[in-house]
Amino acid sequence: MIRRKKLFILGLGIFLSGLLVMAPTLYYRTKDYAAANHFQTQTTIPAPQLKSSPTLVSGKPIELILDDLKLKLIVTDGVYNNLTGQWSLSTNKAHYALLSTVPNNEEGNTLIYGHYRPEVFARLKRVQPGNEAIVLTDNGYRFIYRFRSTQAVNPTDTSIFAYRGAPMLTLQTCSGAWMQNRQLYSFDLFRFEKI
Amino acid sequence: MSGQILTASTGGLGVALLPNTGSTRPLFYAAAVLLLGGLVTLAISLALKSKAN
Repeated sequence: MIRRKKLFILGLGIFLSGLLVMAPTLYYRTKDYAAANHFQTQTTIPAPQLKSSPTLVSGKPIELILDDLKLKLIVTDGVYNNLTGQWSLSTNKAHYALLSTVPNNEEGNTLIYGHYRPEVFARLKRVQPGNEAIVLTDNGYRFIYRFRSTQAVNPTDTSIFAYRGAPMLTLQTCSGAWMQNRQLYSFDLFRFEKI
Repeated sequence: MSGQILTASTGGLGVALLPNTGSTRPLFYAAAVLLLGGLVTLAISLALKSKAN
């Protein structure tokens, strides 16, 4: 009788634990889908515009190096799907968000994102102020940025795309127990050089 | 690409979400295992109870 009762309580405990883990997982997933669907019916993504300047140096990222974290990654295109609200993502590469500014010496925010995995961006949490991030571009330039700060934002906070100040780099991965946050690591341009 | 800046003209308006770079799949499976395990344990305890009655 007592053993049966203990078994019942144990079963109930395991079941409730499962519910506790499952509920937030489904909640955040549903929330993201709802946000994507809401936007899908309201707006479309405009084509990127070109702005010229005689002193400008820029290039498309192909490689990202953070020596302090012993991190060296190939960078490929990060494409946004307006129908699903999802971005392309791989398990072993970083992605340059095509809707952000390319690395350059004049203005804008370059977004490079990667999976929260040990071989990609999981170790970003160890980055310290002053650490350097080097972005190599397809036209042979090396842009060197210095880490300034990090912050966790809501997935729907896309304000980084509106940034028009001094050139900077944002590296993004996920954080939180349910990967519900977008962790943004901000780097300022320190210098650039031709390789 | 010298002499050109490539930017989103509206500053990202129309982009609903930042990239989802974390997988909740392991948590999802762990939760599913716990739910199933709990249900099985509950079923066994109820079966034992009805057998005793």
